[in-house]
Formats: sequence, C-alpha cells, structure tokens
Amino acid sequence: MFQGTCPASPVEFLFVVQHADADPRRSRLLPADPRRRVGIVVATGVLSVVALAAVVAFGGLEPADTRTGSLPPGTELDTLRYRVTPLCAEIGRGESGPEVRIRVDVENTGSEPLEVSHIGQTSRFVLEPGGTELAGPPPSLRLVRHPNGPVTRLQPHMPEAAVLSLPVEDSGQLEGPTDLVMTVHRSERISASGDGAPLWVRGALVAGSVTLPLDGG
Amino acid sequence: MRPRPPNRRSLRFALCVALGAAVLGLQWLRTAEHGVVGPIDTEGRRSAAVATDEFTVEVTDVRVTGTVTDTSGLAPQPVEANGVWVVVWVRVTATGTTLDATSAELVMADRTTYSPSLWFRDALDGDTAFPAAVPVHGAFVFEVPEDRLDRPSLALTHVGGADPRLAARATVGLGIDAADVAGDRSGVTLTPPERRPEEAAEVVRG
Repeated sequence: MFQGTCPASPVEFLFVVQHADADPRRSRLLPADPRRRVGIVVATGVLSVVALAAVVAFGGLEPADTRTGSLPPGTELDTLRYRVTPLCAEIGRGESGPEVRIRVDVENTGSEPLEVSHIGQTSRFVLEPGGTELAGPPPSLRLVRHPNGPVTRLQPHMPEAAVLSLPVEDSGQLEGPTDLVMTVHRSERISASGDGAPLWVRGALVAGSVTLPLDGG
Repeated sequence: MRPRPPNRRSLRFALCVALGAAVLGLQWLRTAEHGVVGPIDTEGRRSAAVATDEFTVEVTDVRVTGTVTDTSGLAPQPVEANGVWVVVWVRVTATGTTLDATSAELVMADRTTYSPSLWFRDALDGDTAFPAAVPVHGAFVFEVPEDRLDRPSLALTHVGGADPRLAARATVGLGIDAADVAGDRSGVTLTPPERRPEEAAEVVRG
C-alpha cells in the first residue's frame, strides 16, 4: 500500500506524477465506491468457486505420493494399468534354483492384454532386514487354476489368483531376511514409434508398498 | 495517434478468431501416427472370406464353451475357462508369400482386445506358419469374461517381415449373439492345424 511519505519505487513515483491531486492514503488497487469494492470481492469469490468446481469436475488434483509407507498383506495396489493384491510370500525351489514365490491376486484393468513383463517392470522386491533388492531375472507368473500353462499376457478384466516367481541368483541372500517388501509403481503410458502402438513403462509415482512375511526362510 | 475506426478493429478481431479456429480445426484433421503407419484394415463378416493383399481368412465356425480339450498331450485334460472360451475356426490362405508371424486378436464392440490363449498346442498362434497358396484350417482359442463378450470380431494381422508398418489386417465380425452364448456349452476338442492344398483352387476362385 502506498503511504504517501516516501515515493521510492517507480510504481509509486508514477502514481504520484499521474494523480498528484488524489488522496495519497487511498488504495490504488480497489475502487473508492464501497459497493464496487464488495462487488469485486464477491466476483473473486464466485470465480474461485467456479475454478474449484472445474478442477473437481475434471477429476481433481492428483494425490501426492503418500502411500510410500508399508502396508499390510492383502492391500490392493492400483497402478492404473493393473491391480495387484500381494497376499503372502514363501521361499521355494524352482527349476533353476531357489526362488521367492509371491501369491497375488491380479487383474488387468486396461482394454488390451497386459504383458506379464510389465508387472516385473513396475515392481521392486526388497528383502528385510538387510535391504537386499532382488534385481535378478524378471519374475514369471503362473495361474493357480492352471499352474502348468505358460502365461505371458493377462487378458483385460479377468481377475486371477496367481503366483509370481522371482528367481534368486545368490541363495545366501535368503539367509536372514524375514520379510519381503513389494513396492509397486504406477504405470505410465508413452506413445512409441514404429507401428504407433502405445507402450507402458514404470512411472515415478508409487502405488504402494506391501510388507509380506517370508515363509520358509 | 488517431484511433482506428471501430469496424476495422472488429474486423481484425474477427480475423484473429477465425485464424485461431482454423488452427484448431486443422490440428483436429491431423492424422495420428498410428493412422499413418498402422495396419491396413479389411473388414468383413463371418459369412464370406475376407481378402487382404497378403492373405485370405474365412471364419468357418465359432463356438462359445466352458471347457477346451487339447489332444496333443499324452493325457488330454479339459481346461476350464475363467469366463468362457471362444473358439474360432478359420481357414487362412497366404496369397503372396508365406506368413511366418501373425497376430490374432478378439476385438469387442468397445475395442477391448483379447489375445489367444497359449495353453493349447493344437490351437493356432502367432508362430503358426501359413505357407503361400496352401489353405490352413485351425482354431484360435480366446478366454474372455462372459459379461465382456459383446459383438466380437477376429482381427488377424500379418506382423512378420522386415517392417511391421502398414501390415495387412483382416477384421471379421463373428456375429455371435445371446443365443450362441447361452446355447450348447459342451466342451470343444481341438484338432491340430491342417494344411489342405486340395482346397487352394476353391479359395482362389473365391
């Protein structure tokens, strides 16, 4: 606000030059008429409400990445491309050595088949305590209802009970840890070149982190 | 400075608005990349063969069923669907060169797509080779939630070759209605894909 004592800034100086006869205590931003002042305040309020309603109408603001804390088993994580509910984890022996098996409920919520590799791409597996990340070969997926059938794609809108198998290259990593933390990132769609089909990659936001007790360790 | 006559000013304003609208309109006309390099589609119905530049496909039978049995193994076991199996029998004839890689999809009315199940050795899949000019009979097997089965089409695309752009694709409306879905649900037993060179003349005559 202009106080009329020390016209230091260029704006105030301009004001003084152009309106030398005006009352220097009067605000330059709001009109003198009280009714017009009220009108401006009301109009600002209405505009704010309209803007807020427009934001809500278009889906609101994206929530901040708040779900980075650890969640209990059985929590559904939504990546916006698929939904996965980690239920329990155990250490087993696969064809090529020890593996961590995670029983999950999973559903492709998109409109196209989902490559199983995308589940591996959007998930990270860390053994606790110790913080060792299982960053070996990508996990494979088998369905509980037909465990012998290979699954490379999940079909849209088909909820499945499945087992994610995570090969462990160094079996020493499994001595000690009691928990497995599965962190699932949001999926992000990018447009690829070539035939123009969209590509799904791991997004920066985390859908959630679930801590599973590791059985058989 | 003398102010411009108001009619001239409004003329300029209108011109700006018109140019802005033209920019938006032309943007809207821009073709997406998929439209430029995506597959070249030939659409048809189940009753007739659908011919693309590279192959001809004819849907000979469609079955909606709860179980599918594959006879290739030593002890064939019926496999139940999580939903329903849609078994689509086709006769595919490559008309140019051998098709070494194809992609089949079941496309619903809302554009939701399903890829074939990989559990049956007797079923056709993307690696089935279709030799030039030899009709091949076989079945694509799709697993679909029952409530999502809505006016499906079979889309068969030739994705092989050096360049997958502008591939040939045939889309065949299967003409499944509620009676087909509610009808005979007895299991389907698959048979291996069969080459029938004796039918080549028939396909060529169309």
